[in-house]
Amino acid sequence: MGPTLGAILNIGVTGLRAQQAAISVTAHNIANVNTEGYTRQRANFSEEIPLSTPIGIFGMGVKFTGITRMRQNLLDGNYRTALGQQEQYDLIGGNARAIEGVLGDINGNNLGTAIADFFNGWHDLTTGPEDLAVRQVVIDKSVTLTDFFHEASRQLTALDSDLDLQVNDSAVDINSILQRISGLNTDINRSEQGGAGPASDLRDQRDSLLDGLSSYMNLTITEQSNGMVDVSANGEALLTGQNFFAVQVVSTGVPAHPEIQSSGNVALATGGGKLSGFAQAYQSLDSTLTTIDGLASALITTVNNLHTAAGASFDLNGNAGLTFFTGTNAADISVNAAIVADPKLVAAADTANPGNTGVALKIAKLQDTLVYPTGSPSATLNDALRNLLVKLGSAAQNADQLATSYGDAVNNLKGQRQAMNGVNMDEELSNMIAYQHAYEAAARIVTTVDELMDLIINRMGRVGL
Amino acid sequence: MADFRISDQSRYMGMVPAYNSLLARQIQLQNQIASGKRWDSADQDPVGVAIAQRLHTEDARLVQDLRNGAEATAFSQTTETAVMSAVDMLQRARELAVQANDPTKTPADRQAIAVEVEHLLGGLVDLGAMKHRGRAIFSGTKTLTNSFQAVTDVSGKITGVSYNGNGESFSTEFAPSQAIAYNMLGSNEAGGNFGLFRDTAAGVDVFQTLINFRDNLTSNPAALDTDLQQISGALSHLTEGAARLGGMQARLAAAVSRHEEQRQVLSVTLSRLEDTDVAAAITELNQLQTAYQASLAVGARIGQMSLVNYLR
Repeated sequence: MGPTLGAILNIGVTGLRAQQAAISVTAHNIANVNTEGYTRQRANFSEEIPLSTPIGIFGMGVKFTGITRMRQNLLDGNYRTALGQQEQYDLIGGNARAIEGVLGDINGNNLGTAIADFFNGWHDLTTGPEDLAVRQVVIDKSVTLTDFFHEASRQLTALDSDLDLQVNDSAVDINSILQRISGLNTDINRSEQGGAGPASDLRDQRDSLLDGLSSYMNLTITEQSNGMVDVSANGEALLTGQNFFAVQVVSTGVPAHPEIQSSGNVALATGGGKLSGFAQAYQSLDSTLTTIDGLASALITTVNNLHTAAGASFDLNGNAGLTFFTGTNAADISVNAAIVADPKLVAAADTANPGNTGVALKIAKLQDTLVYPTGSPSATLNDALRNLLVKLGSAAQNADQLATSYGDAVNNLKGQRQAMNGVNMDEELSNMIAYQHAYEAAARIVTTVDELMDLIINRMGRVGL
Repeated sequence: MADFRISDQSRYMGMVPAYNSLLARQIQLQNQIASGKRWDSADQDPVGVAIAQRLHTEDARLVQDLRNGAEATAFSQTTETAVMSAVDMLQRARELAVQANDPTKTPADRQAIAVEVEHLLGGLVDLGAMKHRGRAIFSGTKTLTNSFQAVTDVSGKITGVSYNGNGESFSTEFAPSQAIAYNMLGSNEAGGNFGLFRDTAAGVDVFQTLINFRDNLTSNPAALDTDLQQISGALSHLTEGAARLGGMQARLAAAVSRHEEQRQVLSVTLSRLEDTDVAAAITELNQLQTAYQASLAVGARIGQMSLVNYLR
């Protein structure tokens, strides 16, 4: 005896069920064709347990064995490392370009031209020290110079505050991501219990969150046998299964800047990612501010020494020269208010005679002789400023090139990931046609068995009736 | 991977960065053409920008040096005008001295000459009031004070001339670290090197020479011969002053022409360095636009093809 009609009907039903399930998987794939981070799924079939009979072993139809998640974890690691590097250099490059802007328009007025103008004002004074208009110009050019210093200092401080905000926002984002991953860990663990197969969509969400987290820092991700992942950075655990350890923002260093640290107070910036970018951005802000402050301070000290030299500095009234600049750095350098109010108080002379230009000439000569930092004979103030500009320009250019190159790597790996994970519409539609036809054929089996049963039940009767 | 799958997302993924980079380069070229400059921030060419900035600083410096030189030259030319008038006056005085030495001249004639000498003397004192841009030219650094003051007796006759200036000179830089003192002292009795009208080292006193000449015309005609010699000596001293000014002006003029030439070289170098090569930029822009259009067209066409179109 072979299989009964009922058993054959059941074979048809397994076919219907399996193809329907497969069409559902295909539909899900098509629906998610443009979902960022989606991993395509594949329906798996196998034969049902066959029926052994005395006349042979009969197949009992098809079994839907589950859904495979088409993903390679190796690509994820490489992708995340490259993404972290790209984010880091994007941040550094953007920051360096912003700092460049602080120095002014390189094709127009900038701090460098203001310094040159300042000295030129004193040069003019050497050919007209008695002329109040010329004295006024010296004051105006000095005030313009202090304005440039103030603006540079203000913008650098503003950039610094922007970075502070970004660091704080990043910490909030990191903690939110960690919290969501820990939630997904729980969900995935629960869904996959009892061998239901991978919780593909939950895992996609978790992978996307891990991608996002790796833009901040270099992560070590370990998947446990229960489906949960543990995440650590720089040797510090951020997440173990369902528990996450919130990162914190701690102000540290000299000068103090906010830094994202683990709950155990270990800095997390390491080997790429935005957090490393922040550290370098702060560094280049600090060094720029140090240079600008140093230039201002060198100018203040040296000009004041000449302008107030005892017995060797006199204003137009024959009185001893006053302090020319007040303040100590780029933020507070100002021209002495008394001098601004009365151009006669500019001390151009080193004797008490109106036509003497000894001090004016000495200050004008600072253009070639005042060096910054002290001890580097070739760097005049303008040289120092130009060196700074080149340093920033090269840093930005370098960071841009690295960001582009890591960006290419990111795109390349994204492409490779897509080759594995991504949905191809033609492929899905081809599958759909196959499943649809299989479904139609299985339905035909059911109809055929139905007809056979009809024949036996309704149309088989006594002979002759 | 032998069989590289293409997902629907990766079809577009590769295109967007390509569009972006084509567009970004176009915008950069448009900026370069519009501004005429090859760069607008240092990161576009750090080394080029550094060189250009250095050249700009040098150029600004040359402009200032030219201005300083021009101003010093103008001051010195005003001084020269004064010196030349003094020379003219002394030449006239010498002519008068020669005439006075003529034995045929009567005391009345000499009296008349004395009147003219008195005027010449006054004229010389007036030169001390000469100013350039409000600065007394012969007073050293006491530029707001007239250089000379005549001392007169009751009848208004000049009996002496006092120097109100000092012995200081003033300088300006006409080239980096090269300063030039561009004033000439009326007298070096208060210090300084060369006194134009009164020079203690050379033993010249133009005023006293004329006063003596004037007085001798009426009181001691026998000394007129000595006066003639002294006037000649004073004249050659003034000529020396003029020569000194000429030498200084020549030195400045040489610096000016050197600076002008340097500026020309600088501007050519700068232009090569930082000016947009408009022809090249426009050509590249056209090429990029073609490439951009082509890639947009291809992108749109790829998107149209799908199995969906062939299903019932």
